[in-house]
Amino acid sequence: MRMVTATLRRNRVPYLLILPSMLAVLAVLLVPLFYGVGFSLFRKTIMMLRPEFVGLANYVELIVHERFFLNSIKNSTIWSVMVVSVTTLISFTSAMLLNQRLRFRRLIRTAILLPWITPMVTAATVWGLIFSDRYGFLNHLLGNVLGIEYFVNFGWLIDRRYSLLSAILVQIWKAFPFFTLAYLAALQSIPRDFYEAAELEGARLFAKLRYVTLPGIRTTFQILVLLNILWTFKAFTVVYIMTKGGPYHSSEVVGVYAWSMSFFHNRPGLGSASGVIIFLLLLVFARFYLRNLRSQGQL
Amino acid sequence: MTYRERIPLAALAVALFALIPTLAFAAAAGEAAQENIELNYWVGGYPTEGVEKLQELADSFYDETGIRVEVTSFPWGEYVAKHLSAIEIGSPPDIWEGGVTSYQVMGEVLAITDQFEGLPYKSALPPAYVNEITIDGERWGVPRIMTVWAIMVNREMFEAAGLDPDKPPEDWDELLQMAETLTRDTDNDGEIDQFGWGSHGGRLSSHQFLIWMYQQTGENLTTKEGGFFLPQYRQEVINAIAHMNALAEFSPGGPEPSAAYQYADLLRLMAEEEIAMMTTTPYNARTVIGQNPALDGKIGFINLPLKPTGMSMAGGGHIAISSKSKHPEAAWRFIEYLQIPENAIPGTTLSRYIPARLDLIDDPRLHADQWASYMMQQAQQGVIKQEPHPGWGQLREKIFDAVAVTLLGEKTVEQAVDDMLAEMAVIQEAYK
Repeated sequence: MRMVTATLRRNRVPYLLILPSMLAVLAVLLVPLFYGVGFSLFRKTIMMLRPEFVGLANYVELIVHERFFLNSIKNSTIWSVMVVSVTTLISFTSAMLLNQRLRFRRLIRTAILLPWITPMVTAATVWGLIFSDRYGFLNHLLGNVLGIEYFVNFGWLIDRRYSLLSAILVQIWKAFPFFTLAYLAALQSIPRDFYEAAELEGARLFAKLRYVTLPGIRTTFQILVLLNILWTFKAFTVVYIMTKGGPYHSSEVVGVYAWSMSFFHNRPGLGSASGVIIFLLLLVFARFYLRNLRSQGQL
Repeated sequence: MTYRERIPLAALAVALFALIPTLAFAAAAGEAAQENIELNYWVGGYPTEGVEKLQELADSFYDETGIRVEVTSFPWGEYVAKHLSAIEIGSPPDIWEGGVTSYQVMGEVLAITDQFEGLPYKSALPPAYVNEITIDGERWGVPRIMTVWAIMVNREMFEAAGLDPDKPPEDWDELLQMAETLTRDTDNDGEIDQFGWGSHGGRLSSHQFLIWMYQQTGENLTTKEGGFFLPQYRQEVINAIAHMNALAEFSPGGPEPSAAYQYADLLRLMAEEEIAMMTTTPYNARTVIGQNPALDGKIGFINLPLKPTGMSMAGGGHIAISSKSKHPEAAWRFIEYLQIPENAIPGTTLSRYIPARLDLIDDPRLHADQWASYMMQQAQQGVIKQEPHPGWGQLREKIFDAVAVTLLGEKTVEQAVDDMLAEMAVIQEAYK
């Protein structure tokens, strides 16, 4: 206790300096978190005067009776696996290309940022119009201009088989610029000498990739993949705006399910319980993420 | 009395001399403060022109009474949450529009029984609305705004298909025939390019379902006390969903895409002249014309089928006073002011509603507004307003599912209805 007091006294200026941020974190993160966990233990509608304490019943109902909750977990898993893997592939490849001496490299680097700086709501709304079955630009282009009959009135968003896939494409489009830049920064941190040494040893493109590039960015790669999983799994905006989780729950990811339960179906207890489950799932990935940061010496 | 003894007396006299004007000033200031009564009035989901009109009326009210009213409008999706937050932090609006039932349970609404009973137009208020504001024998608000569902039609498409765009269908079968007639290959290229119906199969399929049920049965299906009568009408429920499926055959892409279309999609399909008719409230014509100005003059409305009951579904709400308001008398004066016909008509129609007063049905000012006029016609024919059942969010979800699984061909209508009613019975247990 005495040591703690002494440490606090010795470091009181730094502690005082971080106090406002800590209070802000408490107010905007921890209070809603505990409030949400508490809420998940009650049965309540928005207007109910006295919520009824039901313990873990909301969790039991979600896992045992709510077939659309498990469906949303399945959709979120498909969503995350596809978004993370394709984003990683595209952004790593783009970063490799941008790391070369290309003409108009600066212009391309700037242009590639455009999807990332477009507000999510605007992007999803515009893509929703582009994907529209009857008056969307994409079907017009594929079906009428290029004459591919299959795409006339093609149901990108209204056909259960393609609605999730369409939203995934938009999420990838939106996310890849950030990861491209992150990979590019990592690639540029690998000393040129390593490549020159490898070339002297007779290494070709794939050998350089395998023995120099990938080991050089391994930790960054792991961190970025974990970060991508954390951001992607809790996705809401793109799906909500483009499909609202439909048709018939076919593109309903967990974030949309939680929103829908809380605010559309007026069952905030179930919505909070599903939010807590997402939180616990992401906590596992967050732990890996922090461990990687620690191993890289960033914590 | 010595000189020293006189000093305290002199000081007292000076103090009194100073105090009297101070007290007089304070009293005057208090009076002035009383004159400067300020009220907050909240509404939800109003368009800009409606809010501006309400503020204009509030400003005229200030000129007449010295009571200032500040009108605040929130988007509909945020309105209830904002109101509940305001209640939570102890500063609810003095006056608000919306439902009253839940707020009455929370003790947040003022009983205005005596004032209500004195209203000269009391008997002209729609009974369903009066029933909603009557709880435990007391009145908790005044019905103010009403909206009514009808069939939006593209007049040009009707005429091209040989149909009269002003003639409502006699019954639901005729509506189905009309949808079939309007589904056409207009350029003779072998492809259907005009659809007779915009099918509500997605998230708000409960609207179409309720319209059918109200129209067919003439009965309200819920009560604010938790009553729920849908299970008593199994056959009508089957007929309703079967009819929705039949109509979906004439909707773009047929039944399966209908399960995905949101309400906004249907309005856009109407604007794009892909569909010839859909059910909606008449003021949504402004949204459609806004998206495609070329439709100005081509959009019309016809009543829902005239048989068997001619009823339509109504929406809207009440105006109520907060039990925490410091100026309930002033708030009531403002409500009375808003309800004067010359204020009530522009104050509601510019907000895309009509006044919830049947005595204004023949008012020429209302009929000058074509959308209001359509709503008044249907209101005359008959409307049912759903009572705010406390578990409606959950029950409604089951309607969406039943409609969707039949449109997607996963269950027969009978199976879907029986599953739906069984699930509803479990939910309803909690509200008995």
